[in-house]
Amino acid sequence: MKVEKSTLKLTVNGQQKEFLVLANDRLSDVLRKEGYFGVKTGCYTGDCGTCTVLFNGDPIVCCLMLALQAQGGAVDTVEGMAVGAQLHPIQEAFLDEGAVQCGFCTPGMLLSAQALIHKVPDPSKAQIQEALSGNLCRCTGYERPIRAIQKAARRMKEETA
Amino acid sequence: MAVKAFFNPTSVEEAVDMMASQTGEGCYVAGGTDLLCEKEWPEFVVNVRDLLNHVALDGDEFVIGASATVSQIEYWQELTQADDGLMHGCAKAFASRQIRNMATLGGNLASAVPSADFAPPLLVLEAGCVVQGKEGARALPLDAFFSGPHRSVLEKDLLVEVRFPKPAAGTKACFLKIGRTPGDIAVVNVAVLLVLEGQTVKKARIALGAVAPTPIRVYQAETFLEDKPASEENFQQAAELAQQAASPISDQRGSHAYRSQMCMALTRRALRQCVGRDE
Repeated sequence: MKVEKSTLKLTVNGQQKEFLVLANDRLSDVLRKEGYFGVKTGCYTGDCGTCTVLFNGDPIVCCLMLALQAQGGAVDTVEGMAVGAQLHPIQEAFLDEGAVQCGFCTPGMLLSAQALIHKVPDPSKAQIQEALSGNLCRCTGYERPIRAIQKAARRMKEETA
Repeated sequence: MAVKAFFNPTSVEEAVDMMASQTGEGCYVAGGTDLLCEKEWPEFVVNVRDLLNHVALDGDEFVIGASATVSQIEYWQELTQADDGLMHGCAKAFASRQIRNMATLGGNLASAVPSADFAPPLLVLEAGCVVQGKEGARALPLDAFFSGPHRSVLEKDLLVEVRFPKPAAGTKACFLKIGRTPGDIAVVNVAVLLVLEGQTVKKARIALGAVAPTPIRVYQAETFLEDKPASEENFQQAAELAQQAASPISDQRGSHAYRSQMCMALTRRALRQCVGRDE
């Protein structure tokens, strides 16, 4: 079997991209190599959730996806959340509530929260806890992120009302 | 070992041909949540992630494609209403949101680990599997699918879909699992399905996981319960029969003795939940 690179076509944060990848490459490693450093790699076993991205709108842990499996799909990373200097309302709320300490889990949490609020505009605490169950934080815990997500959901609802 | 070749078939026939015609060690991949956690990766993979993700109610039969995700099952309201939330409950107890969006029903079964969470619910629903081989498709009961830890009838064949009859109206069912954390694999899992006539059990189905080389149906306990009152004494005795049918190992997640006790406790708890007597 000859080893050669294949072209992976992806829409990343709304932009069409083409990457050369190996059959062996994980999507998480490809995204990092291409400069999307918001995609962290913590465990490579799907436990820590810090490599969370949205794939066709749904949060996944992209360390457990072969890059070529994503062919033709749409990936959203934390780099796509802010518009210029204008932070996304969920990012703003994380700052307001002091929901960030070391920040390693934060991109994953933000994306999990974004997918949740998209699906459930007014999530309960239990729904937020479930949405964050795959994003491990070892610093501040979860109370502040939960409060931030509740606050962001309220603000986003008011903005669209 | 590294994956050297990635194949993207557009039909089940093509997928099976690719698996059979390549030399070296190969594996089907869908969700990837089992395969990519392995230390050793195969030399080639055949991607079926987007090939078999159909779910449908086909007449009186539910059909779930092998690449349907755990989330698809979790959010399928028609199924949740029909099976008393059995499959929904199993999906809700299955790892994290992200993993549920990736992991597939077919992968959960084809990996054939004794603790596969979807095995007990599908066993009590009396599911059958459709398997595609080089000579064509064949159907077999899920009961005949597993042959040992990490072993099934598949070899190089592809699990295409799972089918089970729509449960009769009024069917009661329950899935319970003990794990170190919700994200961890089961130490013991159990599914119970009951059809009652007044206070009499007309039909009982009980299956256990992680307590034998394969997931098991507990026929002795089922037969014992049928045509008997849904009483505490009978539930206790059925739970003890379940315990006797199990042959659990000791590992880092739980000892033989603990698993054995939990077989009894979890079976009894599931039976009681089915009739609305929460512990």
